[in-house]
Amino acid sequence: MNRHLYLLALPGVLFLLIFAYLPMFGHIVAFKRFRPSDGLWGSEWVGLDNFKFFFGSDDWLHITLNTLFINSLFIVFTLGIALVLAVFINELRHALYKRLAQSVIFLPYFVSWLVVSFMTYAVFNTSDGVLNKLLAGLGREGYNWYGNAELWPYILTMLFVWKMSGYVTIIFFSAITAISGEYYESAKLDGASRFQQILHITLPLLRPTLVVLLLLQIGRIFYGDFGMIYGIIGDNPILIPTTDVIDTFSFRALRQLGNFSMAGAVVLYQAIMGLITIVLFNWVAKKIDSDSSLF
Amino acid sequence: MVNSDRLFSGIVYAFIGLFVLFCGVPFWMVVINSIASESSLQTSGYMLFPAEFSSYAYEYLFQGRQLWSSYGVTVVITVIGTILAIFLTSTLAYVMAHRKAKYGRVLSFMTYFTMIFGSGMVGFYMLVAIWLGLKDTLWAMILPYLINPFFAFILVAFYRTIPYEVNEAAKIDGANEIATFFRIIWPMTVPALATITLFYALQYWNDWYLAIMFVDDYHLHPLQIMIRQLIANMNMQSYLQGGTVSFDKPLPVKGVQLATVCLTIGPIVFLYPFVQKYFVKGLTIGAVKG
Amino acid sequence: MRKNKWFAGLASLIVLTTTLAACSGSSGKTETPAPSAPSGSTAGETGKALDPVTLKIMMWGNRPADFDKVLAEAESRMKDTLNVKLDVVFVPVSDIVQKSQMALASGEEIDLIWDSPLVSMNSNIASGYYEPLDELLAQYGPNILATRPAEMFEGNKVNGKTYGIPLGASQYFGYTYLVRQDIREKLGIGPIKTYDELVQFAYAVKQKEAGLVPMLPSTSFFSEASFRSRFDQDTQIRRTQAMSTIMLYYKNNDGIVYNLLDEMEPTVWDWIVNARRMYQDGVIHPDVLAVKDYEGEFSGGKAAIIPVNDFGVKDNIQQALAKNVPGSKVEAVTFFDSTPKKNITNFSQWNFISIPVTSKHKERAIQFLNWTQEKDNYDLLAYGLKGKNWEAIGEDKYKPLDADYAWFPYLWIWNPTFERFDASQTDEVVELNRFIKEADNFEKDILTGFQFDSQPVLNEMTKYKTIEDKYYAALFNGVMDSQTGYDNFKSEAGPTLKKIQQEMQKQIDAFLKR
Repeated sequence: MNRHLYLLALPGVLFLLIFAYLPMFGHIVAFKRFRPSDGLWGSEWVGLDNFKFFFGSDDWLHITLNTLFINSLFIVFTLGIALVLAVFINELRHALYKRLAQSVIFLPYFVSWLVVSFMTYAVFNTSDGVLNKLLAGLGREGYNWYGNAELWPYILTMLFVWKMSGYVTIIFFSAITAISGEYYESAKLDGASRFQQILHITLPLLRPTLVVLLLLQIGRIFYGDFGMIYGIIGDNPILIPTTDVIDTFSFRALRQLGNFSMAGAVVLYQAIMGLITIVLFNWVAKKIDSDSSLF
Repeated sequence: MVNSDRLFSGIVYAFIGLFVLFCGVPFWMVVINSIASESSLQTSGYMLFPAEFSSYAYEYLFQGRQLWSSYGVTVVITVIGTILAIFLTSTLAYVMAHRKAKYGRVLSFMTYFTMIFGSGMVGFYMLVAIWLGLKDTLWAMILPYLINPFFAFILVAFYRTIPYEVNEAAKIDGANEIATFFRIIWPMTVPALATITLFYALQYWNDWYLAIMFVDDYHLHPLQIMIRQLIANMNMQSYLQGGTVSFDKPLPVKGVQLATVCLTIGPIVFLYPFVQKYFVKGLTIGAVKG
Repeated sequence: MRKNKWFAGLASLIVLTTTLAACSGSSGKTETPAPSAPSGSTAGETGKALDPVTLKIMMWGNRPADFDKVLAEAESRMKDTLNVKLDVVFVPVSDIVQKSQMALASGEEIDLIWDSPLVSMNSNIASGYYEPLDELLAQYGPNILATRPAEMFEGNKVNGKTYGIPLGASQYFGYTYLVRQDIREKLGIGPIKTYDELVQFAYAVKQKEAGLVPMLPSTSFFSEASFRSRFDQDTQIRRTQAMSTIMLYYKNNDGIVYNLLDEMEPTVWDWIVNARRMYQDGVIHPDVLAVKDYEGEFSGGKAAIIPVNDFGVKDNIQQALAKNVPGSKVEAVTFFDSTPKKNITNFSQWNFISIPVTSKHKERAIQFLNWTQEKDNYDLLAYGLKGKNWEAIGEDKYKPLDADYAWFPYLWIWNPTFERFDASQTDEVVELNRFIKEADNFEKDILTGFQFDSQPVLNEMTKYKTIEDKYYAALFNGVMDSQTGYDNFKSEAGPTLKKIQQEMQKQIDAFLKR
């Protein structure tokens, strides 16, 4: 029996070995001073030198905390709102409204961050932004949104939720459809309200999915979303203190230097920290419910 | 009881309504402003209803014959890639989720590990371009993405909801694991497979990274490269060329940024309702959750 | 139609934050002799075609619609001599760095590649990617040498060798303010001749024109205070090779590296404080740091003054504004002093074409480039098919006829000799551009040819950059309080910048002693 199982998994495993594990040797560039004329193996071994630029200043801790904070906001709010959306949409009676809602909340996924950055500017800019015009209409003074760094992790979260909730909702939604109708039937017979049914049937049955999604994100919590954050914040010095994540920091430090080795060192740092984190969380998850852990 | 349900219902509709607006209004702005004139975009920015309309952004995009070949390339990559990916991912995920697979957890860890330790850029490039010699081929844009660990784990979560009694019943009937998987498990996980199909299709549809790195032949460029090239270089062009594209119309930089979103989403809009059909009640054999 | 040449260098993947100007130059017959018939091409001597070779060329940009036709024409012209086929690969500008470095690092065969010190050229040279070209040029590239003044090569050598052919048509940049002429006239203010008058105009706009932001500088390159250095005739404060900001700077021509964090220069402090005052008075755009497309704001009629780095008014701005704000007019105001020898330049260029060491056709590549440095061939590749894409107006002007070809000589063949003027430039602008083309009009920087090797202070450079990103643009656009901003900047980055300054001075002293 096992034999057949492994046969089944063979193509996938082969693929992973070739396309995912084989190239990992490239990570070694983080410990070398890469010169193409020497090739990867011949390049000089410099130990931890490439890590110095990142850890050399006190910024690294602050940047790491920024990354963790912003990513946590992203994870919690996106998963949370997607869950609520999936459950709620499932409650809608009219099939048409259901399909419509599902589709519309999915649309933002296709809007590029570049366009989002323009829209954000259109909403938040001081002179004729939508928000300030609203405030003016209410008789209040306009506010310099781009001047307040504290706000932006939350604005970024809102933008991320806007773009990604629809995508995640699909996952929860397909999980909900897998729940047998019989449960609801018997609950209704027992006199439970719809709300109680959701609380006691839907949510618990969605928990494994939620935990899996949570764990999947946690392993990558040290990787910031460069495309999004750099696209929207750019090089704005005022906003850098609260929105700079490891990836944008590394980019800014190394641009024009084109240094693979130093960039590779930062990635290794993110990978190792992520690994430690997920091993920890996965262990905790396993203790609570062995079915919900990843491995 | 009835009242609390009514209240609840009200909250549901209100929340959904608000969120739909939250998502829909900005998207509407993208669509409607993609047919706004560049001039109106420059003076008034994005409007709910633009003052002046112009299809010039789309004309600009369509003028290169490259658009059609790019679409073609993208469709081919997406179809082949998605089909292969579903096959590879579902088989692997099934074994990862299987309760009796001795090395299931090891497999899971192995798979997840690649999500954290992405293949280093240098190593990845050397593998694909040099060792496998895939430069300037369609396969360069298909093969590297055939297993996405994230999607694999979504499937794993699904497979775990199938009670093991199903497997045991199949074994009694004399089916081996492979037959069990394809004939029995597969139809039961249709919603999950539909989800993953959509996600893989989107992954292939939206990718530009593989093409930029490995495909120099512009005849093989997929849609996203064409778009990326256009947008990244357009700012340059508008500085350099002035208005020479058409002597009385400014280069539709802002319009094109929006139009490309619509172009990208076009075909997927047809895929999504198709996939939605599969979000039907699962075919699990009732009763107890394992 | 006025064509302005802007060359945007690469600094960001998504948003272009670094911009460089490629100045429009004229071909003028005066300073460099037009090259005679190519004498270096060996095929011409033997009369037989060489073996067929395909040259792979990598650059960024869009592939113009007629490019294949132009290439076909070029190849047919070369068929009996050089027998070269051209495989040109265009990469999106946001990805050229990654792609080119990947390709070079893995030893791919590329024959010609564009690069720039603003991007990764310095590190690529240091990594040994590029072939030194001096001998190849001497043997196979006489035209290439003849079409450029000697200083152009001299100013761009690294360790005494030429690693890239400098692509440029001028020795200086034309810094200019674009001003809304119609607003100025409406407010009854006369033509602007000095910076103070510009500021007066800005304040008048603030008072009388609600809804129009007076000044909109952009990011670091054109931040309000640092842009002033472009017109600094007295002390000639100039950027160093280490960074794109003036935190380290040269003064006059004394070969000393000065450090603003060490000792603030009174002139620069004036500029900074002035910017702060203007920002607080609302004369500088309140969201100056967040604006993504500052030219777009100007064209949309939302700002009255923007800084640019080209003489004259760009076509697209002129047209866009005319359409968006009926009755509007744009004028170019520059404080450039065109007294010969008044300005200092080190002749450094920002665009280069290099040959990777892995190329198997180095001689042919140079021969091809040499071939392009003949007037007709240059015209073909720079402007397209004569009669279809463009028409010649005299010897040194041209007029584009359709949109199927783009203008991008700065990616591979640009030189001052053959570059034509856009026929619609005003005479004034033509004069200015002619002026900056001539090497003789400038005082030669004693540091011409000096290249800063950042390897010894790599960690300091990266550390400094991340700190500078937190202060520079805000300080120099007046968004941050000047004194506190400067003090914080100094306390965070002072020691690091000092180290960089010292290393640089050491290298300069060694350079000057040679």
